[in-house]
Amino acid sequence: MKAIIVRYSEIFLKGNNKSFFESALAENIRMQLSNFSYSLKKMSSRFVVRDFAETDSRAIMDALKNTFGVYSVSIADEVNSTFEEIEHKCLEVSPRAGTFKVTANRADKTFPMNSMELAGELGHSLLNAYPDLSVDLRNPENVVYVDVRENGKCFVYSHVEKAVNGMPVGTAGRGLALLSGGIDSPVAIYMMAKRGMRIRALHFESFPFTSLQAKEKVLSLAGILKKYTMKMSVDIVNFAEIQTQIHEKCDENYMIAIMRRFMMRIAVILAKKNSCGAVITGESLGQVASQTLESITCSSAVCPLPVFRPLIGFDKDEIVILSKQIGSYETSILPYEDCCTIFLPKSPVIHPRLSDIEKMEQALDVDTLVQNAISKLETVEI
Amino acid sequence: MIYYFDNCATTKTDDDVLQILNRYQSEDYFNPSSLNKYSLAVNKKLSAARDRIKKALSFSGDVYFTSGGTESDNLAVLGAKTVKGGNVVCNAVEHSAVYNAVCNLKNKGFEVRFAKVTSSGHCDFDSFLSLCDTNTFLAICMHVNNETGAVNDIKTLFEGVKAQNRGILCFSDGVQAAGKIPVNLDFLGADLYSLSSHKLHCTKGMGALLVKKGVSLNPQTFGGGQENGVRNGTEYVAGAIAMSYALEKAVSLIARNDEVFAQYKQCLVDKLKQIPNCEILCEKACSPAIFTIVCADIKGEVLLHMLEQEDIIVGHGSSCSSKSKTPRIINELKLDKRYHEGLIRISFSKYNTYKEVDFLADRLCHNILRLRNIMGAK
Repeated sequence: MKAIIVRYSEIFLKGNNKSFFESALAENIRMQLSNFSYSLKKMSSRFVVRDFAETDSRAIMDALKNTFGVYSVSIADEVNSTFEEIEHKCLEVSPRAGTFKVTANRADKTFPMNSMELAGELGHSLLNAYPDLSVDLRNPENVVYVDVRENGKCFVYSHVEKAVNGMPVGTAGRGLALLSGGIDSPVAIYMMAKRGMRIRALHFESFPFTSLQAKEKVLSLAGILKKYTMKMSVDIVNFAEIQTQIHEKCDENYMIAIMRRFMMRIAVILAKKNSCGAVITGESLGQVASQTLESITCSSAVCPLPVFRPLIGFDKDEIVILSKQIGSYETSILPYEDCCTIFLPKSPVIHPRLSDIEKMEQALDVDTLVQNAISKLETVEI
Repeated sequence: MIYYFDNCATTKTDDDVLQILNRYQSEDYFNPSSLNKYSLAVNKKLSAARDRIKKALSFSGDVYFTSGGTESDNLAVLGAKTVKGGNVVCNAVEHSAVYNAVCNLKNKGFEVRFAKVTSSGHCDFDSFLSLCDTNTFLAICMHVNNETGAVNDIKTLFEGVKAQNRGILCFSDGVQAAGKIPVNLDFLGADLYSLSSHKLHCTKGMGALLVKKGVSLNPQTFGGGQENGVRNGTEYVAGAIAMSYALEKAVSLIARNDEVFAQYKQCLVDKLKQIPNCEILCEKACSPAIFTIVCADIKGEVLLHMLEQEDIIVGHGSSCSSKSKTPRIINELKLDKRYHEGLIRISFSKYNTYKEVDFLADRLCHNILRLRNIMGAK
């Protein structure tokens, strides 16, 4: 019978609250596999997925590999723990030529051979059966894994596929992430979800200054991210009136700096409303004018919540690589303007002073603008 | 209520055309190539549709049905017999279905020469003819420009081309011309002429390539030998028959529309006079159905969305996104940089009314000023 072995890493190190993380991971796995028929069982330090249609095995493996908290997965054959059955299966899954080794693990200490003996005997059988094979214990081209479990069953498999690792989503609180439609913010969301955070997204649209396609693009990105975040809600706030007012009443070069503060103010209100304990942004230090130390200081000044900026020390090309791995890159680069680019001043201030900005904002009815924007909030469940 | 002024993009299907489509999908749905009597009857209807199209455009050649304007354009460009070491002369502001097909020829090793255009989007004939020579095998010039409405005098152009080299195949994209302006194809002298049905209050997914007698094309699809083996695949019978009726009707309305659309244009011109730095792209030899303006210091895409908020739908040549290249036509028209992003295309249909146009003109002026106020440099 085919089975999928799901291994986890960091949870393994947890102490008394290990079961909390394991249950969260099990729940996430169930959510990821909700479209499939299968059974899930916890074994010591791993989960095993059984009773699935073989035609679904690839899709199930891929879904598991995208589940935070999963370290690696293997599709295995499950046989009775007798040497004959194990040997028969090893002969079936073994390569026919090249270098190999057998790695055996014996959780069932009543099994008559120890791990070394079992690996040696199986290696011998394979060498006898396939003359073009040779043993290489240090750097083999192929590995045949044999895992004798306590329940009288044994897993035999030949591949271990790395998964996304991290911590199960839902074990590290909730965060509200600013999702712009560019390359960085989806990566920032991925990074925080990877550490177990449940994510809610906030997008600032700017119709009619931007198109409805720009909004659809953000919803597509949210759909891509949902593969990892399990659940995804996107709050959409129209920012056009705020932008118009800033443009009209404030120094053009401070446009973006003041806009960022409005975004933060709105984010804080929506975060609190949705029990999110942090705001997440895709800022990378110095990438653009609004991401300098001084600009970040100015935007953070209106945010009493912790702001997580998982990309702060990343170069753009590093972010692009991650974006491609996540699968969001191709959508991120679709050429629709987001709300930040449309009002881009010619020479945005790079080192804004908080006191200057606060003075400029006196020309604006900040509270009313924020409340008006929030009153027209649209929430999309992905 | 939607105020729809983007009829160059597509048009609403007429009710009687819908009935024809419905009939040939649900009642007379037979494959025209099959051998039963019902199929034979459908085949005769299909032949009648070809004749109807030929009559509507005064054409004595062959009509090959395709899946639309893009396929017709591709078939014309890529299906034309090539000459080793030969070249193609092409108007610089062709629709992307032609432009990208021509670029494909270039990738195959043929030389492609692009002729200049005037500031109104008309093909510059001197430039075009100076590029033709004894090695030219294909000359391409659209009949009506889809972005400015410029009507090219393809009769004069193609006569000039043939005078230089009789062997040159002359192709014109007629998608924005047929049913909008009078077309006498035998008189115009094009060897190949493309049509699209959904610009004529008919279905999407239907078009035709009109091929002069004696011109042979290399097929781009292979199959059962339909359309003289040039465009293989079972015909979209309902679409073809519906298109023939839609074209016939559109042609019968040209004179009426000419008169009415002229009033629409005058209404827009009168009201736009109050807006500084707002230019009409093509005033002479322009399609009556197309009215394109460029406004300084605005983003046409934003203006489009502002009008969209009031349920007024207009067109904007190409994406004005700062992340994409400047639209090809804008570069070719050699406009002042201040006008580069401010293109708005208004295209009429028989369903528009003067009242609607008057409303459009008011809202257009209002929103141009508003947008300049919002986004203009301080």
